[in-house]
Amino acid sequence: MLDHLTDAENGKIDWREFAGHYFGEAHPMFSQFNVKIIDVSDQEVKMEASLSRDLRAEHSEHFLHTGALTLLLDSAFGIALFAHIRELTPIATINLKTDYLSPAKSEAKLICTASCFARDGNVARMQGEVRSYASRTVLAKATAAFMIGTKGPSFASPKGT
Amino acid sequence: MTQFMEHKPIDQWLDISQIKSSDDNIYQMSPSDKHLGNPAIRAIHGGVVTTFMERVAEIELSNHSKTSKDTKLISTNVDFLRSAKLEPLFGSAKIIKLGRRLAVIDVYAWQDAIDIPVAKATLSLKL
Repeated sequence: MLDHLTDAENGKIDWREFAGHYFGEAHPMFSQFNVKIIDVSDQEVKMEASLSRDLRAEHSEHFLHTGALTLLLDSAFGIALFAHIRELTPIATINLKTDYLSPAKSEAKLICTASCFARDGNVARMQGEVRSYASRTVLAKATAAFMIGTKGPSFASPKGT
Repeated sequence: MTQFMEHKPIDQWLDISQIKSSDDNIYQMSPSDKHLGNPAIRAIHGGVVTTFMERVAEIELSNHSKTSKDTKLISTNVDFLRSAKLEPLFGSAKIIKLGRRLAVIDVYAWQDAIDIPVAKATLSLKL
């Protein structure tokens, strides 16, 4: 499925291209995030996003439901972890804590950063935040623990086997 | 008895309905492809499960407190216990504390059976 993202000469995955593919228009949910990947390294993932009006808390307001920010952060954690460990082994979120600091507007440009700050064997610790692009205000901060090498199928396998 | 929700945008996106039982309110999400994380494994995205649990807490609180329209979620802490399949997801909430300024709510989400939860969350809300 992801063969075209792998450099044929050295077999390495282009993580920025992978992230673009992961959040691309083909994905039924991420296509609503309007993600633009700014940078992907083993240290950090940085991206811009503007989330659909469908994720608003109220009809009468422009603000997103808080869960939309967790959706974005949990997704960014996955990409950041893949880029950190440099392989597409199956991973799973063990737990996740999000602090909601300020409301986020739908369709407004957001900046999301995520990184792996510690690893103990198969358990990786992630941290990230979402900021308003316009004001640079921090809207949400999250930390999470991920299990690396779960029984599930790899992202790289064609049928998830 | 199933009651469809007030249809806030997020509730429509999650496709939430409320099931009244004799003792507790049970909420149901009917997931579709747009809720998938990794389409290869056909599992609901963890962020979607979290959003559903946040709505369960907020709706439950609004059923108990007339001041709940002004609630703001402070934080959500969720443990993912099992993979959530692309099948109906159920949730129920227990209000641990309901004070003048703060509410703390536990939410469980399950699919096959209530005693086999897929996720457990504790949420803090400002009133």
